[in-house]
Amino acid sequence: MSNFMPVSALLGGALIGLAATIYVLGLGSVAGVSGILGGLLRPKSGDAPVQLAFVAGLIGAPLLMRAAGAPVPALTIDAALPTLIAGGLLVGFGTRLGGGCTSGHGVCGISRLSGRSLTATVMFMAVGATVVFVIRHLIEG
Amino acid sequence: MPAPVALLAGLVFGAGLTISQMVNPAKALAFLDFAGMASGAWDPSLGRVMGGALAVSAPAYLLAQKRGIAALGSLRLPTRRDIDLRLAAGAVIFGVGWGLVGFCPGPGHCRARLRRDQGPDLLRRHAGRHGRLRSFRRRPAVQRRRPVRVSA
Repeated sequence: MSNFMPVSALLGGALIGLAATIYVLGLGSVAGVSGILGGLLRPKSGDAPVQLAFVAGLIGAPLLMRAAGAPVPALTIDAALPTLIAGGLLVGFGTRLGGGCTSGHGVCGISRLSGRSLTATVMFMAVGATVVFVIRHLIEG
Repeated sequence: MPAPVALLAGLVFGAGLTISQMVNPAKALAFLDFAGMASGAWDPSLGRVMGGALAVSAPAYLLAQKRGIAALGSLRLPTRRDIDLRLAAGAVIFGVGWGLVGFCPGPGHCRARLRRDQGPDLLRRHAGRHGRLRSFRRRPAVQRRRPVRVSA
């Protein structure tokens, strides 16, 4: 079994859900990371400081945790640099075109029982799984 | 006042991504590898993370929609219900990118800072890859991490 840690997965997930809760009950909007990042590129009046603050927290959290001596997971990136760049562009373009990513559609959208978000989540998971299958089991065999 | 609340939400979100290890793209790829179930390589973590998140956020959204207003302003939630081509095409394109490298926007940015420390290691790894024709490499997760020693 690969590094499956049920407790940390559930606890971490609950924290992500708490962040979405703070966002919707406090600020009244969806905590979708791709949308917030996209908003930063096209700042509307008044939204930019809020979006910047969220991204600062997102980036700052693991740094603060490490500074406090908490365990921070090592990262494993097996894709080569050209693949990383291509993947990053596809992720950025796709999430903006489709109006959301794992946080916006997957967590916030499903939370509000949106058919659009459920459809998008099922689709990007199925496509992602297909790509992984092709790479791991057909190409690499 | 909204900015400190957003900062708090970002910190909690980033802590969640870190504790759940979702900052690591390999975890997402191991979840998407459903065919790995047979060999035990499948990692259900991401499913648990989403379950844990939904368990907290779904009741919050119900409450928010019932109240119709947020603490610091109006409730501005998406209202569209139609499933159009843009949604489908965007989901497919995102899925291809996600399957290729394993990161999505949240962890991708959370991770941006973490990588600096591991620069030398990453660079070495990339340099090793550049000479190869194949751009995809799978690490044999179990075997490499836990070498089996048989003592006589």
